[in-house]
Amino acid sequence: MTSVVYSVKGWGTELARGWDRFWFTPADPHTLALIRVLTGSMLFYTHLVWALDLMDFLGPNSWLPRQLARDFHRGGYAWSHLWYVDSPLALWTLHTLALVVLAMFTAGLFTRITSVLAWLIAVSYCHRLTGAFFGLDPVSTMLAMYLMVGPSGAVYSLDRWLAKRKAGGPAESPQSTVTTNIAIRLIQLHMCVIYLFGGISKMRGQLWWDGSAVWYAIANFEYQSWDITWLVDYPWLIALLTHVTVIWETYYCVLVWPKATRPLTLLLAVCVHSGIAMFLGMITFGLVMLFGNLAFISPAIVRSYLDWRPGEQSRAGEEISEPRRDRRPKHLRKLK
Amino acid sequence: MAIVSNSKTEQGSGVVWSLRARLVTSVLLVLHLAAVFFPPFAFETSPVRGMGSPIAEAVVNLLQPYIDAAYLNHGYAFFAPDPGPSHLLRARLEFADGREPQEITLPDLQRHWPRLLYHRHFMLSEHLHASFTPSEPIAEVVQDRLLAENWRRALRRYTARKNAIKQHLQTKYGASQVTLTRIEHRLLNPYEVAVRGKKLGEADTYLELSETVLPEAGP
Repeated sequence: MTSVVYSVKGWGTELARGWDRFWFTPADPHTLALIRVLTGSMLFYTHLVWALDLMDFLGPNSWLPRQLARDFHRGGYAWSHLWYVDSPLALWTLHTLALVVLAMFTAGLFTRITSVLAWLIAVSYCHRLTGAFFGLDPVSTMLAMYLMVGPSGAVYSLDRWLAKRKAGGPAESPQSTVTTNIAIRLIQLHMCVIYLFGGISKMRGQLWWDGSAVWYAIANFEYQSWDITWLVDYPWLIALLTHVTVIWETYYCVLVWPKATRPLTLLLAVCVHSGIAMFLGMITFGLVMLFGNLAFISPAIVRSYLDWRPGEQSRAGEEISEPRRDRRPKHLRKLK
Repeated sequence: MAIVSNSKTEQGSGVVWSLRARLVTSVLLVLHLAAVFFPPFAFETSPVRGMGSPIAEAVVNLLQPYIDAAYLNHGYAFFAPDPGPSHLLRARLEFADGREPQEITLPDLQRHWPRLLYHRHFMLSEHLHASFTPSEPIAEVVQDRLLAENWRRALRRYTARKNAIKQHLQTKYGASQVTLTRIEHRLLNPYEVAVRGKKLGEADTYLELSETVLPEAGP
């Protein structure tokens, strides 16, 4: 009986250590900052496109008037500042402000504030524009949500440039923080949930089992941006693409974690999402999914590609070669 | 996973968190992850609200305020369960001032550029179709009070959405009358393309949909 108690206790301790390590190990901000630049650019672009037809989508006689959009959410807890505005002047003013905030967020200016505002703007537009959204919107708002959790403006940002200028010399290395790690972990887990249910929902369909689903995706005239229906002469290839898509999507949440399978899992993500972007006319959706996958790229790799200044490069090199330090609190360090 | 950093970390600089902070954060993380996981789980286990897994329903109901406010209510069912046909919207505009009637289609590659704007218009017609409710209820619905109430509510929503689109076009183009028709662009199977040489955009692949009956399922 005592050994059972000890085993359970040991298991519980191991679990607690694993949880602690997974969430509360400080991480460098480079990956998160790269995701900020890319997601910010995407949000800026998507809102710039709304500007091309702003009155048609948000104006007093829009496709879905504000009162109707609000009614569709009645009884729930969704919100949008755009439910209360439809005068052209007010809409243009708010939309211009939104674009300015998104541009500041992308450039990493006052990032702590603009990251929160960027998320509020993104969600608010989604709740107002019910009926015009698709996969792009939940994913870009998801990324915006986690970018406000961590210090996404710590590098590759105007904030950092201003800090350097204020210091009057080379600025200190960006700090690794727990919130960076939490933000990255949340993106990773959210991506796993998206793929898991993407795969499970496909498993309910007959065409994803009989190997013909990819044909019906590429043969959809309205989605098609590049005609590859010549693949009809290669049914085995269509079946292969179909089966690989479902298996990869369903098991992404397992295969993306081990070092041995991660490169292949991410390579397949690049193939699938590039395919969606190039052939199915959803460049924005394909790209934003790839931005989410970047959460699985280590900050050291991002830094090695993006830190082009010689001074910082050498410092980064030293950092990489440093032995790892146990940064856990003293009471947890005993738990080896 | 090389997420662990080797760059500057100091004790006392706020990098290492206290046990209490980690405990509180852990509880918040579990709640947030539940709000991320359970909406698509509920969607898969309970395709019709209130008629599926009671566990999924209970958790989603509990977290509904947060799920709604944070825009987490998604199924993530892309091209699922099967890739289906596209649904377009054709509007015929008639004018009292003597102008020739005009036809507009949503989406329209020629008019809607860039591609993202085209896709937004495409989603307008797809969402309208997805909310379609036949104006005449099927016998099963008439006999059941709850189903009948659900049908009435769904029809009200569909009609409101459709009328809003009509109103928009009427105002924008100064039309005296707008007639909307939902169009289904049938998907061709491999045999039709490879053997019979049919093209994806041929006129007979566009089918006008009825407003009174439900369409048949299938690609």
